[in-house]
Order: sequence, then C-alpha cells, then structure tokens
Amino acid sequence: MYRSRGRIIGRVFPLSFSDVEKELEIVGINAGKGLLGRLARMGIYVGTRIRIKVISNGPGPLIISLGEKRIGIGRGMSNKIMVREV
Amino acid sequence: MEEITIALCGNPNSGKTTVFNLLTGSRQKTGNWPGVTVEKKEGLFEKGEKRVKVVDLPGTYSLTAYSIDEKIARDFLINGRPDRTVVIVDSTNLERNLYLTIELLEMGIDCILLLNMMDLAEKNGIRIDIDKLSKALGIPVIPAVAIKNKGIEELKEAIVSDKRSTPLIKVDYRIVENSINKLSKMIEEIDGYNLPSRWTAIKLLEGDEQVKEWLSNFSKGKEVIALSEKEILSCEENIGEDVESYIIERRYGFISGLVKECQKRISPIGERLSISDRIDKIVLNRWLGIPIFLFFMWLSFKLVFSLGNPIADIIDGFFSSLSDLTKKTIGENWISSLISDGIIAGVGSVLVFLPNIMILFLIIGFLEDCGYMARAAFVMDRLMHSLGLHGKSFIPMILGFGCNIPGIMACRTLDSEKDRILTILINPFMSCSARLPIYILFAGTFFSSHASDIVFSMYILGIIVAIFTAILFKSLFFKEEVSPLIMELPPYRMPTFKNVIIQMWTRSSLFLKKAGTVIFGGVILIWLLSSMPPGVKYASESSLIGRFGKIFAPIFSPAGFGFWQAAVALIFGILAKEIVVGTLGTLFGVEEEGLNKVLPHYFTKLSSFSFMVMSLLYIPCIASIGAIRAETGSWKWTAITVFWSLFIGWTLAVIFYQLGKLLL
Ligand SMILES: Nc1nc2c(ncn2[C@@H]2O[C@H](COP(=O)(O)OP(=O)(O)O)[C@@H](O)[C@H]2O)c(=O)[nH]1
Repeated sequence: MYRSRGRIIGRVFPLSFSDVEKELEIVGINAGKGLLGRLARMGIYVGTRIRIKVISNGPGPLIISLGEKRIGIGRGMSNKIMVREV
Repeated sequence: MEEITIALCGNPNSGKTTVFNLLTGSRQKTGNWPGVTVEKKEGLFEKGEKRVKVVDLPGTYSLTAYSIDEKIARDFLINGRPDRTVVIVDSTNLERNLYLTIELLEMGIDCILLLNMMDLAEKNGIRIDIDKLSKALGIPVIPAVAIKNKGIEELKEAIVSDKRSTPLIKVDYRIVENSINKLSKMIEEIDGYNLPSRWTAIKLLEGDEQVKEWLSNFSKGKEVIALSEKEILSCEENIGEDVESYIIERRYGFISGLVKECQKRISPIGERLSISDRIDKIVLNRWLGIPIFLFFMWLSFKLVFSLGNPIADIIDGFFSSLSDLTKKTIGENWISSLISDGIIAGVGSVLVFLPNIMILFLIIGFLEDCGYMARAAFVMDRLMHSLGLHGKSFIPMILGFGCNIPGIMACRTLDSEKDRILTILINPFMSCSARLPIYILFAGTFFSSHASDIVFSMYILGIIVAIFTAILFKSLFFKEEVSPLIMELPPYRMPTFKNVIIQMWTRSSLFLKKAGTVIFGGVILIWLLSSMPPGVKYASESSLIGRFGKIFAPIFSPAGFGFWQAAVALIFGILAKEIVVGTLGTLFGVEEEGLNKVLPHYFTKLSSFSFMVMSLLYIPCIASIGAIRAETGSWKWTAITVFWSLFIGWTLAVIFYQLGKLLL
C-alpha cells in the first residue's frame, strides 16, 4: 500500500538517494499494512521529519535520526520510504 | 507478610535490567516464559510489611502482539494480573519513549512511571516538570538515576504504597472516534468479557489479531469483529489512509502535546549522540565496516577459545583422573564403569563446554551493552539478505566454527521467530572445532602433501551446505520475506561490569539446566549400549553398540566405509565429535598415534574423504541437539535437523565416493 497525503511541494525521491544531514520529510511509504504499523510504532510515518546521519554503503543501509533516536534502516527498506527536502 | 506481584516493563535500553538488579539484588531466578524460549526473570524484595515479587517483562517499544516479546508482556499484564506495573523510560527521549506508557494507560493499567537516566537528561539540557507530568497522566512519576542508585528507594515506597491511581488520559482519535464509540458500546454489552471496552475497540481498528481471537469466544464478539472490519473500510475511505497508522500517529500526536507541556529543552542535542554518530561514521563506513566487524569477530573467537580451552582442558583432566580414581578404588566392574564411563564422563562432557560458553556470553553481553551488536547486524545485512537470512544471522554462524552450542544460543538476538529458527537449523553445518581432529587425522594420513587444503575444503563444504539448506528450508517452510531491517541503534556507551556479569551468569546457568539434561541422558544411554550384554568388553564387537555398528555398517558401504568400527565411531560421535578419533583408536586396538598405520588397511584415499564429509555433516552432537531443542522449543524442528543432516551427510559422502570411483 502506498501512502501519501495532501499536495506535495518539491521533488520527491527515495530515502536511499538523499544526502547526509539534510532535513527531510517523509511523504510516502511503500509497504504492506503490517510493516506500516511496525514503522509507525517506531515513529516513522508520513509527515515525520528525519535526517540521515550516516550512510553506510550507499545507496542503501543508513542511519536516520528521529528526534534523539537513531534508527538503522536496511537497504530494501530505504528504497521504500519516499521523502522530500524541507 | 502480605505478598504482592509487580511487573517491570520498558523500552530496550531504558535501564530496565539495572533497575531490576537494584530492586532484587541477588534474589533472582530465571526460567522461560511458558512455551517459548524467551528468558523470564523474577526476583524478590521486602519493604515495610510487604514482600514484593518482581517479574521482569521483555523490553518492548509497544504492546501489540506482533513479536514474541510484546505478546509475552501483554499476556502477563492481562492474565498474570500484577498488582502494579512499573514502566521505565529513558528521559532523554520522552517523545519516543512514552508510547509504551500511553498504551499501558489506555489498557487501564495502574502504572508507576520511572523516569530513568535523569543525569543524562540534565546533561543534555532537558528539564522535566515531574508534577505536571504526573498530574497530566494521573499516575505517580519518579525521577531516577539507576546507575547511581538514585530514586530506587522512592520507587520501592511507591510500589508498596496502598494508594491506587486511576489513569486519566484519553487520546483523541478524531476521525475514527465515531467508530470507536460504536464498537465500544457493543463490547460493553458482551457478558463475561472484562477487558476495557474502549481499548478493545481501538485495538480492533488497529487490526489486532489476538484481541479478535479473544472476542471470537463470544457470540456477540463475532458481530463486533464483523462490524469492526466494516468500520475500518469506511474509515480508510474517510481519511484516505491506513487506519492502524493513523491511530498510531494520533497517539504520537498526543505524546508530542504532552511533552511540550511538561518538558523544557535548554540546549539542543546532546554530546553523547554526536560522539555516537562519529563512531558510527567509522564503524559503518562502506570500506571499513566489514573489516572492523571481522576483526571483532576474530577477537571474540580468539578470546573464547584461547581463554576457554585451557580451563576446559583442566576440567577435562579433572574428570578423567576422577574416573581413573573411581576405577582404582572400586575395581573394574559394572558399578565403577557406570560411575566413571557413564556418570562422571557425562557430567564432564557437559561441564567441559562451560568455560567457552561463559566467556562467549561475557563477550556477547559486552558487545550488546556497549551498542556494537546492533551495528554488526547492520553491516552484514546486505550479504545475508541475498541468502534469505537476516543481518543478525551472521554472528551465530561465525560462532558455530568454534562450537555450535554458543552459535545456536546466540540466535536469540534475532527477533523474528522464523529468521531465528532458520538460523538455528543451519548452524550445525558450520564445522566446529571438535570436528577438526578427524580431518587432521584422515587428511594427514591419506593426503599428506595436500592435508591443509583438504581440511580447508571441509570448512567450505560446510558453508555451502549451510547456504543450500537455508535456501531449501526457506522455500519449504519459511516462505515469507526476511523481515526488513529497521532497528533502533542505542548510543554507544561503556557497559557496566555488574550487568554484564549477571547476564552472563543467568544465561550460562540456563544452558546448564537445559542442555545438561539432554547430554546427560545421552551419555547414559550410550554407556548402557556399550556395556550390554553383561560381561562384555566395553564397546567391543559383541556389545550392543558393536552389534548396532554391524547393523548400520552396510548402510555405509556405498560411501566406502562399510565396516562396523566406522559405524560405531560415528555413533559415538553423536555424543561428542571429539571422541570419534579416540573411539577409532579403541576399536582398532591401537593408541591414537598408531592409527595412521592401521587406517590404510581399512580406508582408501577416496573413502577417507567420504568419511570426513560424513563426519562434517551427519547428525549434530547431543549437546547441539539439546541446544536446538531448547532454543526452538520444538521437537519437530529438532527431528528435522537430525534427519536432514543425516540425509545430506550420507548422500554427499556416497556421491563423492561413487563419483570419485568413476573419475579416478
Ligand atoms: N547515565 C545513565 N546510564 C544508565 C542509567 N541506567 C542505566 N544506565 C546504563 O544504560 C545501559 C542500559 O541499561 P540496561 O539496564 O542494560 O537496559 P535494558 O536494556 O533496559 O535492560 C547500561 O549500560 C546502564 O549502565 C542511568 O540512570 N544513567
């Protein structure tokens, strides 16, 4: 299921393609229901502001910051999260 | 003395273990939660007129029933009926940590909120208005610094106090409120259903399977479920998105408002985090990540075996002199044989593993506590994913080269049950150090110039079979995709000595209890077979085991080693792979050193190779079987590994032998 909300201003691209330390807003997540729930529970949902802190082996595994939390996201998943720069 | 039970819950890394250890000291016991192999820890303390039993629930971020840990925690809160529940949160990150608390309060659970790590919060410039938070939530809130033992007395007092609190919060779910109300009215009317109706309604809209199961026990409950499914559809049309996510977002929205009210941030982002980020830039670097990981693995390996083996040798020596002593004092008869060859050798074979296992758990505990373990999974994820495994599967496989038992036990770090079981099942194919003497003997005898290449090829063959097995089992039993890797990475920190030691001890003693009984039983069985019928020479051709050997020998003819000594050695090898070589020595009536003269009379170059293949792959040792049984919690999986490894071992041994005969 693909989720997005409202009109999106600016260029949209997968999380795996963006740069370190830019402020990003999640605009869509390409995942099934169960996975969406799991992500949301960790605080990752449409509208959340995140920042990439470390790119491990681009494009792919990376660490994002969500407030003060750090979350590691595997390669497959980082292709499914769509973001835009704020 | 009045006895009450309290539950301890909290996010991973919030300091739950530290608090549990402070509350209960050494008065702890570990077991397993019913039906699963997740550790269950309980402890006791006394305060005033009350004796308090503390049950440590698994660390979780929320209370759905998606993972084993969360299910256990929720089941206990609902069915275990603790008198009070303490929820521990990391106060440096209230916004993310309060989620679990809100879920508890929505369930109507009488909580005490422990704001741990206040020292770090202060350092990071966070001020929390405790009173305001307590009023807003309607529950006691206690600030604490667990590592400095601050706030623990206050916590104990709050636990034993008779004052009850009624949680006040009500999250506004806006668009779905209507559906919640409709459903909860219906739920209220169900006789005998006694969980909070609003909570049940919300969970139904979140699609919670377990709640549905509970409801379906009532005839009216089925109607409610049907209605909830309709409501979900209409809500999704209304909001244009997944209801479950919407509900979770609303909850976070509520928390965000609460935190704004009760928390002031004086300076931005903490130093701890920026240091952590800098370390991660190195540790997870594209080029350095894997070498660093391999270095840590090599080091752990080295430590486990170079520190553990000498101690293991001492233990081994102790038990063999003990058994010699027994034989000398009692004389050579069946009683002394039972005591020395059976019981002492059996207990010894369990305890011999202990030093390695304790050191391993010490290292694992250290790596987990300092925060590296989470990163290691991350580094290996890509490679493992292409094999149908999870990033976290790699460490257990590496450990298996040392000994499969710690390897199998290390699979506990995998959260998804399916990924975990698959990783356990392929572990025995990692050639453990006990199998090395077999290769050294046979390769040295038959392939003197290429001995080391032949030994190396065994390791590679083991890895190939493991990968093949993973792919096969994946397509047969675990069709789902590997769960994607998303994990919270705790900041790096110095582990506390006490936590690491306590954890090592609880894990090792669990191993002793679980694997011990199986190993012990197996040893006694083999002893019996070797000394029956009465009067027979121990493990000779006419003993039961010798006769067994003769029965099984023809099976191995196609692989080129169809004589009873080989069959018996393999059967003994199930006890422990270490004794295959020794057994051959006994059966051929020579010392181990004389074997390389005798073996060429029985084996050819080719059949020696197929024998090595067989030794590598066939049935894991009894200790591993015990560990597999304990860790999967299932005889079915245990039986599948045993049969599959026997099958693949025999098949490959035969293929190598027959192909070799054709080609050479
Ligand atoms: N600075 C600080 N560190 C703490 C505090 N409480 C626990 N820790 C540390 O946080 C880490 C995680 O604690 P632990 O009890 O293992 O957390 P668990 O995963 O929730 O069981 C350990 O290294 C503790 O030493 C605290 O109040 N302040």
